[in-house]
Amino acid sequence: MGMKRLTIALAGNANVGKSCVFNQLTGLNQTIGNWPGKTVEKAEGTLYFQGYRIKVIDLPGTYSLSAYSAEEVVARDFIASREADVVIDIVDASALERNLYLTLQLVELETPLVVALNQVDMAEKKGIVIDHEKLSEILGVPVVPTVAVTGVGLKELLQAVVDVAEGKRPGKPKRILYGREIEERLRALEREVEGLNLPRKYPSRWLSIKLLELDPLVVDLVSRVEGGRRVVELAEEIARELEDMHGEPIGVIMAAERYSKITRMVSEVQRIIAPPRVKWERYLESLTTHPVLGYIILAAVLAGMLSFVFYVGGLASASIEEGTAPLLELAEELLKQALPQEVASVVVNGALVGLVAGLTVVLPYIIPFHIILSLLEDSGYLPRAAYLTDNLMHKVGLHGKALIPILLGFGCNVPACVGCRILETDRERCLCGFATVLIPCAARTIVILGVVGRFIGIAAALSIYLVDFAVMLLITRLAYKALPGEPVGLIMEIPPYRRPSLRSLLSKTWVRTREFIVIAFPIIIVASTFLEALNSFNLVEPVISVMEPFTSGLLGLPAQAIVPLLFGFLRKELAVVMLADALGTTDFSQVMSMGQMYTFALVATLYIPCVATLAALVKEFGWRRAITIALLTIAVASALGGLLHLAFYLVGV
Amino acid sequence: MSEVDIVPCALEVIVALRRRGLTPNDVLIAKELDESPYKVKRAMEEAVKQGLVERKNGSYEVTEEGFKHMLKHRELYVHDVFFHGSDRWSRVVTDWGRHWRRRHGLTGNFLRNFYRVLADLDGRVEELIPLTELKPGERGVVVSAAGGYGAVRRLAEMGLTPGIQVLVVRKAPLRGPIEVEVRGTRLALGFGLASRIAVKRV
Repeated sequence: MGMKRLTIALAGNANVGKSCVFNQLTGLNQTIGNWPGKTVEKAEGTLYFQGYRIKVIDLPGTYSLSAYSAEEVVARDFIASREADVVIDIVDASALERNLYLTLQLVELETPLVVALNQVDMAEKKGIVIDHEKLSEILGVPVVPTVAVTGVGLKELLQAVVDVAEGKRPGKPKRILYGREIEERLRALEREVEGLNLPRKYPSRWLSIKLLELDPLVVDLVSRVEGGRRVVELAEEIARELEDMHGEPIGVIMAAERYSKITRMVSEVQRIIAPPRVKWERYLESLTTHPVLGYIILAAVLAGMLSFVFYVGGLASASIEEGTAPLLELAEELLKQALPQEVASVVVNGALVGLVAGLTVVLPYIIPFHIILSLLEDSGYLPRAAYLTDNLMHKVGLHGKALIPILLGFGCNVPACVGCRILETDRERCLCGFATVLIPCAARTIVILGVVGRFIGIAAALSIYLVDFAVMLLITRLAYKALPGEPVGLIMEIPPYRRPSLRSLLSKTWVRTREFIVIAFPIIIVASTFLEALNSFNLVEPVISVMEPFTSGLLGLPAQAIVPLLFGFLRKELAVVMLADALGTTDFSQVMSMGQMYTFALVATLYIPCVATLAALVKEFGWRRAITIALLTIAVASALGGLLHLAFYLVGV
Repeated sequence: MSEVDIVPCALEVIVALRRRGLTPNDVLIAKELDESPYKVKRAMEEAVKQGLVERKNGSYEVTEEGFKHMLKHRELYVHDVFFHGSDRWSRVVTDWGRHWRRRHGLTGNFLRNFYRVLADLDGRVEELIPLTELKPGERGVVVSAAGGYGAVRRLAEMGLTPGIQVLVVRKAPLRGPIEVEVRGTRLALGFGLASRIAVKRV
């Protein structure tokens, strides 16, 4: 097909309706994955317009293009690579001043640009009128007013993109000149930078600005080439000179410089014709952030969310299991005729049961969870919840926003892991991921109550929870120290409330669920088949004897207890069922001492997240981190189990 | 204010008045400080004795020694208010460079800029208050922010640059975050971070 191809990238702040534009443009033709080596979401989609096949890349929402977070690095590397023919900068018309900060940095990158002046309806409501033609004249690129939620202006936006790509309209931004004292120094630096032989072609002015800001990545890039060291030293000298003049760090000086440009621009293009009226948004705003009522509303929202996800999920999960049971039996009957007994059993009890287990997690829990999460995200309630709980969450080294995944974790760790993506930086997502996988989920509760609660007592069961929380805090603390990046206090935009769009909600839910299925299902099915194969080919005995030093020696448990521990990896609550199976009785107190039962429950709670959680970890954080978490939890569980064994042995329980 | 406390404040007033091209005499200083001219006169006599100011034709000029004295006073104020919550910890500190670095984790580069801001400050240092001191509905002008490089820079990128006016919208209870309006957008700032942002009440 002779279709012309075009690649465009969407850049913009968070909360400007960027994902809404993306969804409107691409519909369901999108895939969501991670940028290579990062836990930053990468969304891609395609659309057809005027004979063009346009690939749309949704860059992460950022406020700036410094090297502050993984998101910013991803966004700026992509733009600097010139992979995109045109970059669309989505700007919130009701917060023009702050939004133009990113625009100015895109201008510095000298990329072909089209500005979408989004949410002009919201701006009008606030009494803000923007002369977009004037803004276009100042920036030297097309500026198109849009309302992404309703789709207004998107056609004109695409038209502008195509025009710029075809060279019919100027898309190269005009150079923005900063104050004289900075501009003179930049010129001097630029002359030096031009003399360098850099591997990739970046605009030399941009490189000079970044060098002046002492951006660690650009400094590294430049000092690698011949003569680069000298240029970096010159930049450092100039930066120091400017710092001495202003008494502020160079990053602040440059930010202030950009903002002073922006203030002038805004004063030329923006008029405020009426003061914002007090409307329902205002009332909602003061209610949901009220020092007393706010917390009551938050509690209600969270309780509603948890009960929706787990009540609806529980019902659906049970009916899926019931509905598929006869099908599984039928499949086993049919397969038995075609295949040998053992193989059939492996296929059915391994692969098919794994598939069903996956379905019972994904369909009932993940889908309602994504619906609610999208609702909370799109309406703007999340930042309010974070505002209210930031204080509390700081005590455990996390942010206010981490509350949502943490609470979800008590139901099931899988949506909790997926929920970590609402946090802003790579570092915070990781920290939160570490914390969520150790939260006692519903399945762990079954293990704790079913073994310790039933046979030892409720106080002992509670103590396992306490130990679990202590381990969680410890690991989070360790990760807090070990993870790279500076822990920064909360700096979060509070966007106005808005009505979520159904289209965006549904497509987000669908796309995210699909991505989860693609990653998680193979892992669940393979693991399940593997364990079933052990079972049916009589490999259990060798496993028991191989693992005996661990099970009996270290943990002091009956040697057969390794089997339920292995199956607990599939689903934690299986550990109880399989323990009964392995020991041949449901009254564990007859064959195990109190100490053994306690140790078993503790180890089963702590060791390795279940396979579905592990799959979610892989999906969100990559193999390396997922395996690190898994190994770490196994190590902690074994160590604690060993210590307990020793303690119980000494005390004689 | 006792006479001992008046001296550093008077020094600041003299520097500020000179910058504005005015000639600071006892009456003018007293007016700025809202103290009795008699008290100010007594304090200034003491300051002249210590060599902190020079008196010529009834007006004052701060000496180099006096300027240093004023800077020390500013440093102590900022230290107590922004880093220790007014617990007068500064009285037991002897080695300041070491204290800033060890106890507060500030880098040499930050300190250099910090002293620069102190020296360039226009007006009395007591006008600087933490952003968290403002009540909802009050406005302040950002003077400077202390903290890690990443945090300070992030604040600037989000629009909290020196000289910008902010409006405190609301504060969460129990040292929770503070919500401010700046450049037409709302930001929530963690308490720890916000308490290191120096503002002047408007």
